[in-house]
Amino acid sequence: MNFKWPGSSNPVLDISEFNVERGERLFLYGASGSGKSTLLSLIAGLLPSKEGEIHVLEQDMSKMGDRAKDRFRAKHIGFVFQQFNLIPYLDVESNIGLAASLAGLSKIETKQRTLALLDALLIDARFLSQRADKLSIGQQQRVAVARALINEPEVLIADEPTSSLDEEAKDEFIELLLRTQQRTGASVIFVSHDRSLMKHFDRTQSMTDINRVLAHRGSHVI
Amino acid sequence: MLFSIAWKSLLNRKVSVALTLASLTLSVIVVVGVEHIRSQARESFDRTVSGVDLIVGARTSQINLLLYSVFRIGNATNGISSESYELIAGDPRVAWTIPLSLGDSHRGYRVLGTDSNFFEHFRYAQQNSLEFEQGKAFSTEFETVLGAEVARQLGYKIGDTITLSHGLGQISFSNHESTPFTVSGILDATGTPVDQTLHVTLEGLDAAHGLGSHEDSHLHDDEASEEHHISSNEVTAFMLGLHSRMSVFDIQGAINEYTGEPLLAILPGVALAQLWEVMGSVENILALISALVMLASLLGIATMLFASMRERQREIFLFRSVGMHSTSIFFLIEIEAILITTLGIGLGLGFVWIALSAGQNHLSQEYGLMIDTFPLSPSIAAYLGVILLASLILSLLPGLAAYRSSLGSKLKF
Repeated sequence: MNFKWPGSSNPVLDISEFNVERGERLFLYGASGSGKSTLLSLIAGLLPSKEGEIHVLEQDMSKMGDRAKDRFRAKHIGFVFQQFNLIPYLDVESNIGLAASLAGLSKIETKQRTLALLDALLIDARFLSQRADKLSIGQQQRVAVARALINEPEVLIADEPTSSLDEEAKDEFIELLLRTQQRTGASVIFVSHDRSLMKHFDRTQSMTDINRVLAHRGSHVI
Repeated sequence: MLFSIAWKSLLNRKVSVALTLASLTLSVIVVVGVEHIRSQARESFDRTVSGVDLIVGARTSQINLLLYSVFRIGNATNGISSESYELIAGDPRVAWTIPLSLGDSHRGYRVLGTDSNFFEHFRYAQQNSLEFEQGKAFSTEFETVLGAEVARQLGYKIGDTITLSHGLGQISFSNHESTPFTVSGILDATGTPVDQTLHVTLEGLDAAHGLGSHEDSHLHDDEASEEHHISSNEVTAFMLGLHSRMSVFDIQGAINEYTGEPLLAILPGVALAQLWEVMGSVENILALISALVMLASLLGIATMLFASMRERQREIFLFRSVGMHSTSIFFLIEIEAILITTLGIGLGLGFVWIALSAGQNHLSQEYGLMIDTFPLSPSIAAYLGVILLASLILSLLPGLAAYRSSLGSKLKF
């Protein structure tokens, strides 16, 4: 699999093979600029892949139409980002509800799952009607996990979700995230440059090992 | 769902949205206000006379004759001799005539010398005839019938006596005090210049001028040389009705070619249309200005939405990451534009309505304009539809910008 930004002749990604098993918790680390975010965008179908193949749940993302990709993403992939995970002017319930309704989840089911998730993530239900930007960063990140898991997706993508948290909160957050993930058994791709977090995961993968663009770059430097 | 997101997104940008909304509301007020007053003025204008086949006066321009005979604006340059008047009135094709003798006033209101035919045959609006609110038409020389506005403004009742002034000023030094007139009737409001007029008999008017059987002539001789004045054997103009409208052009031609004295006969409808045409250019300029004001506001909406795009990159990315389609993001922006525009239209209409309700009295008193206070006529509704459409089209720009930025090349984790 190969990826170039439009208008650029230099590929940012050149990966011969990269696999994540169902239910696996993968720790993917790499410095900034190593192509982590681009790889995640491709997996999620947010960027169109032109060369090579990307299969998620036995579906070829590069052969899917735009609408199908959006639908697929809504149902099967959950995201937690570094920060600004939530629409600031919507309340907690609407932020979670938006993801649920885009996946076609019923209102009743959404409400039940929301309450269960918030409970598991140690967020008081009274925050439901709170505007997202009124929450603390830690609370926002946990609501983001609830939002990512509301549709019980098969894949959970977490991109540096702890980098805006302080040290002791990081481990607690990851514990909470993984414990909640266990309820659905989703595969986790956890991306970070902070190797101290790798102890929580089944397997660790370095971007430099899979992205041949980085290997070339490295050889030039040497 | 998109609707509620759009609404909350607008609420989240209260200040810039409120400013945009204020500008749009003002523009709607301008557009609706101008169009409403224009159409109401036109309607009021077209109401002034109907059912009259021809108006005849001394030779002048069509518009001048119409202005002084119907709108009581300006002065006649000449009168019509009674010989000519009687000759034309006596034509077998002529059913009736209403003589009009102008040139006097009472406390700023014009006085019209006429006869009982006026109350019988004059029509306004949709062939409405004049009705008496109180009293009746004059039966003796020294009685007068007041227009509704005159009676209301000056507080006259049946039986009051008034004196006329020579000339048209509000204060005149030559009052016809020796010949007071008694109010015999007050007309219903018509929304036409009739409301602003005092109607007296021709004979009474002559007597007041000392030209009739009653008084010796006084005071006028020096003025008469400067300003034409109607003498007893003249009328200023007259209206006429025919037995058959078929003969209207024949009669008009005959009068215009009459050799006894230079006369002009006009068709009121044609002259009204011509007069309105003169005002048409002003009307077009007003319409153009209000269109430009509106365009500026709509561009303001597009600018506001466009400027918000920068801070909304993240938001757009989040919508996409939870599975929202790019077209939904486009629609989100369009819905925001529609929401602001609809709100602006509602507020603008509301303000115009309130302003017209508050100013209605003043308009009818000062300008004789009877206007409908509710501004939503079909033509205005059409304008508002165009505004909504224009707003949609102009916000295609930010909408497409949002759509493009949601497609990928700018999407970053």
